[in-house]
Amino acid sequence: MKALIVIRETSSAWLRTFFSNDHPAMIRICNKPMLEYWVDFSVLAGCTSLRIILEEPDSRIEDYFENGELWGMDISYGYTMPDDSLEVILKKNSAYTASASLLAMDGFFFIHYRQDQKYNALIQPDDVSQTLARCESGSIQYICPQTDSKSPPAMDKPPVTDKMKFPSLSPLKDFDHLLEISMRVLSTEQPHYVLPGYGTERNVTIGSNVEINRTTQVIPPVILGSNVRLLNQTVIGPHAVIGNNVIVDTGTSIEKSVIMDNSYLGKGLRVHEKFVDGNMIFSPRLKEKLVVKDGFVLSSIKASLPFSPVRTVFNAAGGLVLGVLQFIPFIILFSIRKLQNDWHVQHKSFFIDSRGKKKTFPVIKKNKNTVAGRLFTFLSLDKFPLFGAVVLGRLKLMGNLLLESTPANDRRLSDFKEYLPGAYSYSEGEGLTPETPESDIAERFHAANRSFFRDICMLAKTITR
Amino acid sequence: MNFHTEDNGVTIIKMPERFDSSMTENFKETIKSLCDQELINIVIDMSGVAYIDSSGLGAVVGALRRIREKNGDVKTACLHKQVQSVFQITRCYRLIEIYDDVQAAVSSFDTAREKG
Repeated sequence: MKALIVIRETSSAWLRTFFSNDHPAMIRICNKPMLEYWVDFSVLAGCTSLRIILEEPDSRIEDYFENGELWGMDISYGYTMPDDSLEVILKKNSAYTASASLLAMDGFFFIHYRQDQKYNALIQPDDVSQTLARCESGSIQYICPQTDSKSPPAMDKPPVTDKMKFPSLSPLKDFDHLLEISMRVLSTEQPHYVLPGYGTERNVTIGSNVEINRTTQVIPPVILGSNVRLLNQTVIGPHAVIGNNVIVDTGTSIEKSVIMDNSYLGKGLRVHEKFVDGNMIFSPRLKEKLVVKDGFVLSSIKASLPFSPVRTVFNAAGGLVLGVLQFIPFIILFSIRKLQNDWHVQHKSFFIDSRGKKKTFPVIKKNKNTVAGRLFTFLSLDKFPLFGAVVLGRLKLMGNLLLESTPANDRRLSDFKEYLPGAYSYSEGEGLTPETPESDIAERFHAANRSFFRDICMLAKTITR
Repeated sequence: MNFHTEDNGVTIIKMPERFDSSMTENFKETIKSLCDQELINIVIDMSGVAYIDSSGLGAVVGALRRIREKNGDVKTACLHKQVQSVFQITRCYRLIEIYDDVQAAVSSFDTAREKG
């Protein structure tokens, strides 16, 4: 039997309002990605291959599951359009789904299974296509092979016992559901799943490299991730899930709450019925999100980016050389255009990194109607004001097209982590009109395949174009 | 690059191993000629494509725009893993439909007609 997992963006997008750094399907429930519960269940149901279909694919999902070797199954990936029905999705994946019985999980929900059960026993050889489980945010369906619906699915089945029943599904439609499911898994269902870490006592699971101060109280049920530091006088639990790479500072207590990965919680805090992710705190009950600016209270722990001195020096030197070369032509043509009353500058704010940092740059209006204006454009002198930022390391010499600070571009940045703008853009290098689908594709393609050598080639192509 | 038209009027274009800037002009001309003949339901068979770059993708998206202006559609089929990852990086999957199999892509035009 094969499995097909369809994660709908419409059902899961609510998570992006808080956990914007990860794909909703990878939301941690007791430190295990939601999607991994589905994959584990597929294994228990006797599936030997699995295809994950996403509306918004994310390379981090593929990096996590890879080809499925760790789960003993073949995992592949596919895409779907927002309005595609399951029928259309099956058709689009016909090479995968043809002549195989299929377990289709469609929607966004949590599966309450037990790791000691073999669920393939519940699907009988003479079963017809049917819905096996359903909740308000999705369902699990058994689909018979289309080619020969009378032939039984080839499965090695253990005997069915009276105690066996198909797992129930819990809808995942808001933060109340998420907290409720997290607490249910934590307090009563921990043994049902393979959770990361080891159990020291009942309802306590601890990851690796955990430092617990001797004055810390750990009150079950509790799950601690890896690389966790609990400092003096901290009280963890009851009902607390602490993610990976978390520091809880002196005197802080955490109860009925979920602390996501890479978070620092400052001294003397009382965290009750909350989600904490980096410097954001969310109350499911009050439906309120708070971003804490004081890094001593709450902050995220980030891995530092590797420093590349050669690239930085080349970037600054390149900006300086081009700035010097353009200086005299700029002054001359600036003076001429000014005298001709043809000098119009607008100051606009642009995003200078993928995290939404902004900087204002002057934008010089082009004019193809005068000789000076044409020469100005031909020599790319509109780039001149940007070279200062290049020399200071705020902009790349060759990079993405500068995106103006608008709400639409802000949304665009949320799935464009590779965005690094430059004085010269990839779209210019390819000779594409900015803000077209073709230009967007070129920007993303070159950003994903960016290298020092490729950028130099692209810069040469842009300047000589 | 070669193409043929099926009985239901859907044209299948089979792409070569490399779909980069060296191929885009040829591809654009093919699309133009198909548009002129009102053959506006197209399946791009990518089973032979091992490499695609931004020029190739740009050409596909350009074709899509041109064909949709005429109320037709372009669908892709049989993407290799490498090509699929380029579609993912560039978010092309949001614009163009992807099928596992050429025949499923061809018959999807019939389904669309029946529904339409």
